[in-house]
Amino acid sequence: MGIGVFNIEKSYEGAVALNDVSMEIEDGAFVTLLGATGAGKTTLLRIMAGIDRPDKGRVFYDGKDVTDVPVQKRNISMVYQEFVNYPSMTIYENIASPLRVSKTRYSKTDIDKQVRYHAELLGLTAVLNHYPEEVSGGQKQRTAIARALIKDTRFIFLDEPLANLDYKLREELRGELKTLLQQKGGAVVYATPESVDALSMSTDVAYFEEGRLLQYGPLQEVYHNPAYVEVGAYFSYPTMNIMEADKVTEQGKTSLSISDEIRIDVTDFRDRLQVQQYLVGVRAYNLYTSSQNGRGLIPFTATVELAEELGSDTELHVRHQGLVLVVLMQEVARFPIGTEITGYLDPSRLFIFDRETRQLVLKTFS
Amino acid sequence: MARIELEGISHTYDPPSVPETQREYAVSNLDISWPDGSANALLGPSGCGKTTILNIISGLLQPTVGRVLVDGKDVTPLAPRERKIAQVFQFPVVYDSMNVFDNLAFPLRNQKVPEKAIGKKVRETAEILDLEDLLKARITRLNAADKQKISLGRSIIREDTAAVLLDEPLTVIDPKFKGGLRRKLREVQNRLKKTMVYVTHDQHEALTFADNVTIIKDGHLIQQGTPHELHSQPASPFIGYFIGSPGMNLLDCTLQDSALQFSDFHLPVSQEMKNKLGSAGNGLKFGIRPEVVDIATREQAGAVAFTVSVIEYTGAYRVLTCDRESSRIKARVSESIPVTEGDRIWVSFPEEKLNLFFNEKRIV
Amino acid sequence: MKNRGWLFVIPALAVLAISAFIPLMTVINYSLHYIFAGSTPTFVGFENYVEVLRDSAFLRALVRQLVFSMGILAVEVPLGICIALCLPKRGPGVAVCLVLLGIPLLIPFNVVGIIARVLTQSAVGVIPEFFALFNYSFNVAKDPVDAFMTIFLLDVWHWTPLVALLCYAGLQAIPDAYYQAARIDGASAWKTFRYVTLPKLRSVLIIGVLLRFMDSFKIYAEPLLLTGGGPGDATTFLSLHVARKAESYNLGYAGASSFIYLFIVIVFSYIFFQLMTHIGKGETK
Repeated sequence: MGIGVFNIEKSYEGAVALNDVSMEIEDGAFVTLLGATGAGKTTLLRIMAGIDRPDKGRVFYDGKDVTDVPVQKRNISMVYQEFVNYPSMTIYENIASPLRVSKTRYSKTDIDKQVRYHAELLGLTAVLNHYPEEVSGGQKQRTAIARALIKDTRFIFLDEPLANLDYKLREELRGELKTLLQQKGGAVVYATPESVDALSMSTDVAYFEEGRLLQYGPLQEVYHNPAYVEVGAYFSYPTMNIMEADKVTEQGKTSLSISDEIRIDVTDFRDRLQVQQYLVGVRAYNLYTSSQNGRGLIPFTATVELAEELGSDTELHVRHQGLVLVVLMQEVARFPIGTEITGYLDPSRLFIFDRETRQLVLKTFS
Repeated sequence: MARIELEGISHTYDPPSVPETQREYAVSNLDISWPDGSANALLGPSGCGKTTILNIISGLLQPTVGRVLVDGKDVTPLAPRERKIAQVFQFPVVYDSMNVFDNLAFPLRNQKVPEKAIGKKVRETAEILDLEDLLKARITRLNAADKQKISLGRSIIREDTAAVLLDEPLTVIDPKFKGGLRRKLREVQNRLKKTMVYVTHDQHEALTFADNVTIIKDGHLIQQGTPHELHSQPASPFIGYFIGSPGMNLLDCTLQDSALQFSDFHLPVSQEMKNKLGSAGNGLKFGIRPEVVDIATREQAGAVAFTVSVIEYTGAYRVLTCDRESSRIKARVSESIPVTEGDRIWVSFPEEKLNLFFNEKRIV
Repeated sequence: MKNRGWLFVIPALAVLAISAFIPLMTVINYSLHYIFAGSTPTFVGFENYVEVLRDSAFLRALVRQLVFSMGILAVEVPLGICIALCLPKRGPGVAVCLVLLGIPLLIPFNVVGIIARVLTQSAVGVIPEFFALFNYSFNVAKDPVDAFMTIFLLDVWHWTPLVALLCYAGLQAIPDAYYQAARIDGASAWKTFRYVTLPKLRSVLIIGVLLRFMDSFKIYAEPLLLTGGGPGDATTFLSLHVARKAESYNLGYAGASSFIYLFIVIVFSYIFFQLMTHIGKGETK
């Protein structure tokens, strides 16, 4: 049971949008389609929902081929990035609209009960008698979400629903959406370019790049074992630093050399390091500004280029010998640009990728 | 570049015919001073009066009461052009019929600067903004982020600009380019040391850009300070919640017999804390940041039992939403603490990290 | 074809085929024959075309038409922009102005022709009376310049409001921020107009120019009603000339001249369109 797509291909005016994509989504899953603009995630979402047809490949709902079934016969819900509501109807009527046009007839009291229940869930009770243009952006999008939820559907598709909202609302809705959508029981498919959306809500993640599905699996699996350097670099919050490293063998010791200051002893893993050139990935929160954070840290000198505030954290962009690294500090700190600092790299928190094949070779932790 | 000051600014859109007592003020009693060369932000939710303030500074709007000073000189009666205050708008404003070079040169040509000097200045500005390769490009081919850079370029190219106002400059920029442009704005300010005021509803942008952030709500200034000050000592519950991600936990409570009484639990407090609270007993608001909440998986003395209802995962840490009968708090914990949804946990609140608000003001 | 939406277009295409394609083919067919009503057509190849292009009456009508249409554009477009700029942006005046502007547009061509005829009649008309005050004898039936100018001004009065309304809509759509930015950049009023207003009006102006050019090329009823194309052939514009030939049952000639006429309209419209979409696009110098 669930959604299945097999060997999907799609081009727009000669440009390949999706290249042989297959994936299966189980009931109860909250799947995030993650990728940059133009990676193909929205295209796949639209094909899954039935808004667009694939050039090749089949789409299955609960084991039944629905590729040729038009969207209006599929009984799905969709929430868009733009706040799509009926401008001439009140919020109440907007939420009630899926029930009014449904084939199943609902009694007036039934509709009323349903609308009020969903309005309560999404905090819209106070504005039920208002028109969409009279309420805030967050309320407009909540109305669209309520409309999707009230419909008795098994599958809900969301296309960057939080993109046009203020950061605080985004933060609030993220927490709410996770609970609300999973109560429905069916599958939820959510397309977004934001890693943090995927991290905070989903059970499974599919990463797309240039129309190809690079990795698909449970959230923790994809996050902790990125199959390719591209997945690790993109699917990280905040960023994963990627550094070029060459294997050096001296006096029976094998190490990866990143700069004259940063040399990582990898003697323990030498059997698995067959080639010369690697990419070393380390997440921003495994680089520190103090040696207090662990044992065996590798110090390096760097110059602060920018301090960027992220909620309650600070992202420090520092330059170390031509490399720009991002260090996450879990506090609101201010560093004047140009400050010389000593950074610390945690050698037990590294991802090592093959520079040629871009695949994950090993991790220095489990 | 110059120092910009607002002195006792109030503004109402109501016509003078509306009696004094019934007028609705979009902004009231603002006193703000931005030193020469500083990076500042005006931060507040949509509709808080930010745009009104901006228009008053740039001269598009005459304040009902108060004065605008540039380097101590009263410019309130001056027209926008005479104030030499440049502005970057929400969507990129560029001249479609000119190429990038001519766009940047436009303000200088209007001043009749010799063409040779213009060329030099334009190239300098383009270098700062990473636009060198695009100088000959047709405007209509550029993306919104590059257009916004040109918009900024035109505002910084004149030597005599007193200040640059940025009005939500990243709102319409594609998420892909947002991060880069946000960093660029900060870098440009730092390099040129021009007085800039960045207006936004996004705390992330404001805190990244500015050394000095002014928070506006409902037309009133509610706090001014460095990002760190706003974060650690919020003047009101609203700021506590608005700044920081996730926002500060806020719960209503009263002080009774050496303990804070909440709707479904209580928390003993020290004598010292009691003294600080003084006579404010009822109607207190208790605030604590999710990152300083302590979590234990076993029962502990003084800790309050909660149930974990939602876990949001965010790479570096997890955010737990914890519920009791009628209280809900969020806690930010590291990956290493083993909890799953539905678990019972014990929460304690370190007293030295508490914020207590009375009448919407911070007292502890 | 995976997208079945184009099926919806078929009825429209069918109607278009009947209403445009078939008559056009008929005209082309006629233009290749000597054909007088009642006689058997004989195929003559391009002889009709040669005859048309050698006909001095046709060439005079063509030159007259071009002078007229260019003049119309030169007057109506700037005037329309000026009127649009002068209109109030908001307030109760807006509705009044728009209605006043719209009135000429509602009057049919033939009525305009008749009004003009009444106004210029030598015995009763207001206009000859007015000119008589200055000792100028105004007479559309005798003076070619009077007749031409009357038709010209009539068209300006009738159609400038269209350009003005288009521009007005275009102006309303320009965000205020552009004007604020220009003020801050220290631009003069002229420079603001030249670099903000005009480029932003580009798309409506393209529509306006094309509409006015094609429409003015088709001017027919007004000269016919005013003087019947005279005095002499002073107001015999292309369409009037072609119609005359068709009325005289010289269908081969009429077909050839119609086709040439259509060709000219298409070529000029294309040139205007290309020019206007490409000039002033900030190309590299």
